Amino acid sequence: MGERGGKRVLEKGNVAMAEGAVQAGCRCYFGYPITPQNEVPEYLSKRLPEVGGVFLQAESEIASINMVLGAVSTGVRAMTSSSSPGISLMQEGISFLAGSQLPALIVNVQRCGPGLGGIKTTQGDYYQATRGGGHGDYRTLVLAPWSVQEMFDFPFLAFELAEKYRNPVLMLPDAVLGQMKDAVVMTPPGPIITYEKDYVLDGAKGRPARNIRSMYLEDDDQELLNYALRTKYEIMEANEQRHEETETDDAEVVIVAYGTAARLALSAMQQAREEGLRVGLFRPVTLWPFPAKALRALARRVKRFLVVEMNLGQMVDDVRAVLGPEVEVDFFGRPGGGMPTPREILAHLHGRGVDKGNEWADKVDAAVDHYVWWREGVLQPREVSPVGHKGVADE
Amino acid sequence: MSKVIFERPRYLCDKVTHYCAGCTHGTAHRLVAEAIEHFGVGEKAVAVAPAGCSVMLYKYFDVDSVEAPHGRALAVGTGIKRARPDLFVFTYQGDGDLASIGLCETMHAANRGEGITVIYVNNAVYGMTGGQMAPTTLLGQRTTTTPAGRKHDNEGHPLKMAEMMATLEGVLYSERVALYDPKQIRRARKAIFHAFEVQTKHNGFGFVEVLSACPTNLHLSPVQSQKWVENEMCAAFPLGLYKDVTAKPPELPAATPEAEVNGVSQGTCHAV
Amino acid sequence: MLFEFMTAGFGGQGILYLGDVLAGAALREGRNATFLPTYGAAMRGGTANCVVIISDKAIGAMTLDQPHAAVLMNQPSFEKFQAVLRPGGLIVANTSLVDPSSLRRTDLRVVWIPATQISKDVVGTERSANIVALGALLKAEPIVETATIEAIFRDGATGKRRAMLDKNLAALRAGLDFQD
Repeated sequence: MGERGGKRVLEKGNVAMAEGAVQAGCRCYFGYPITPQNEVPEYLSKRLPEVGGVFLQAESEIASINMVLGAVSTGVRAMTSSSSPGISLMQEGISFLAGSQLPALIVNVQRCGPGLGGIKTTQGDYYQATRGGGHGDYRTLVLAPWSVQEMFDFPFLAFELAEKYRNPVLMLPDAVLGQMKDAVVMTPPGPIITYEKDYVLDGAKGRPARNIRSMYLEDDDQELLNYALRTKYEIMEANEQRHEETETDDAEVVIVAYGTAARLALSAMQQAREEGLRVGLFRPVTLWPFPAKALRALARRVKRFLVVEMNLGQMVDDVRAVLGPEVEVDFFGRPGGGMPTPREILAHLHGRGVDKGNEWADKVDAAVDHYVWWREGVLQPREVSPVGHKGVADE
Repeated sequence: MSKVIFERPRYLCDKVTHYCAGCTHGTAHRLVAEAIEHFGVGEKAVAVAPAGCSVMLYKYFDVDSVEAPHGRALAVGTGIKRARPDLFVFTYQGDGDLASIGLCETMHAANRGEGITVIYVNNAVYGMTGGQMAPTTLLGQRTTTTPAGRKHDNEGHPLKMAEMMATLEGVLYSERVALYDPKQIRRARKAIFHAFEVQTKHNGFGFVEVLSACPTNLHLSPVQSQKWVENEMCAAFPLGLYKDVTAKPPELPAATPEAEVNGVSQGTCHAV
Repeated sequence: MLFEFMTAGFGGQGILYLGDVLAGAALREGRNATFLPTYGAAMRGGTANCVVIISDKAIGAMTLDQPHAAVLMNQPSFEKFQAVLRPGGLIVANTSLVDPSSLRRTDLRVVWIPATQISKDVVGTERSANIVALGALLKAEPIVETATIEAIFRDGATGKRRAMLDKNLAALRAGLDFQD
């Protein structure tokens, strides 16, 4: 998928991403092992010292993100990577990065949950990634690669945008994109773009001392900071919506999907076209800001959309919010490690839905009976007297 | 002809602090500021502030500073020091920050022997949030969350950080000091200076636990609270040197006159 | 042309290497290829498998729909994965560890090859059974040029791996020469 000069090689998404980060100028990595992203720290533990960079395996994801916070305070390009449970642990730190307006790259090679979940792939963290994820009113820029080439390329864009907006940037691949090998050209997609940093902590020599913080206790300072951040987010929404369209020119139905789901949708689209169905693909590249402008423009001529995700339906909310009730928006997704097959997506394009046969339906029914056997009507509510004030039982 | 024998250290800002009357944060701040000046690190220092009463230390130290999430000061400090080994990094943390929520980061940064100086202010209570139990609250001590006094069978025992630090291979220096009288303040000054030198000379991890008084949350007068530190806290947290694997302590400049070191703090406590 | 391939066996049988080499060869020949391995805990102990997609066009799904060919190196894999092949599809089955009587499909081409035994005979260890099977696969279905595979072996034969080059070449040749 890369057209630039350089040799096409077969490489793993995790490794390509790590190499891309190094070439994009990342000089500090802090992380904690978790499947399916372990190739990232393993690769960087060898690679970063070669370029005079820092690799440190932290004691936890909490420590990792805060080491990143410290490192980026000094102006260097720094990153961490993890997978879903580890990213949950980092949320406080990401909120601090956002509140302190610091640039950093965080890569979430998603695995299925909730809880410890499993190591299979998913897109279950869309909400977390696109709504800030931690406490407070904030957003992170979210890039969704769909190929190993984009795994390599996006760190360049991520660091550029992080520094442009002084904001944490997330890359949101999934286990499949981390683990798969794909053709990739691992030469820089262009020059490294950077911006002046007047917040850097490097010792107050010949200038007043600086402070990086996110706590503002006095007067209306915290509210005013939030308004200022809102303005920044509005600029990001205006300038940074990215997407890609494939064969939408004559499309009657358009699939909206990102990342690995978009790859599966592309195959479904190709099959549908062979069957004479005019299907296109709209692929959000930034998940936040969501490419609302382009999708709205497309809806002027396309009246039916199918959102495909590897979850129970998260991005579909954004699609419906953008398109409004006039446009038909269907959804097909599989959660918890399941991947929609092109065949299943094709069935939805035909409006048939998926008939996976009685065997699968029976399995789902059995799972419901097993995991939520106690659902409505099975367990009866039981009355217990509350403890009264001062711990005296209310007889 | 009069001679100046006591003045504000170069890196202590000319500001009235927000600390409560009788709080010894002010004294500790002054000693740290003296060390910054003495070792000439004011133009390459980065202070890492905790969540706690000293969260706003950027107002009082005229050096670069960053505010860490609660407990994560030593992870943030690690990031700074690893990215820029030429900088002088110190954390200034309370007992809740360093010994409770941040214990994991504390132990691991210490164990890695990061070139960071840690000023650990232990006052046996959560000050900023209004007097709740700390990991270092004494057995029997009443706080707003141990209304009948801390009991070991429910809340465990006070954590002895200076002792714990001394067990870690990565720690070059660990000492516990107090601020309840001028003699102790002089010892504390010496310890803080040495912890600075552990970094400037050995790029090592130096740890100073400073027993501190919180009259507001102890519900004692400033004088009584100093007595409480001397009699009660020092019994539970014995003062002294727990580890020093560096050369002999640094030569110090003339000591600050006793009478004027104390009582820097004024103002009211912020409960957040 | 879209070609879907999978291989499966025990962890340690070189399953992922087989897929990696095949995908790499397709790439060298100017086509597109993806390689999707099992990963994590599944690598240790149980069965390993991987999927290779080869196409002249941009590859969408990196997953299987109906594979054209499969190399199945042990009994559990053979029992499980024979069902997923498309009608007329090809299986290379390692009869050193697969019981041919467990074939249930009647619409497949099957190359029965004692790859583990041949590996022992040709290179002295079981470790090249995967390459023997790859040779048999290429004989039955020349997805990529044999010379391309050999070039990958040569390029990869650096340092400690240099000793493997002759063994790999011999094992590949043994698979190609095998008469079913």
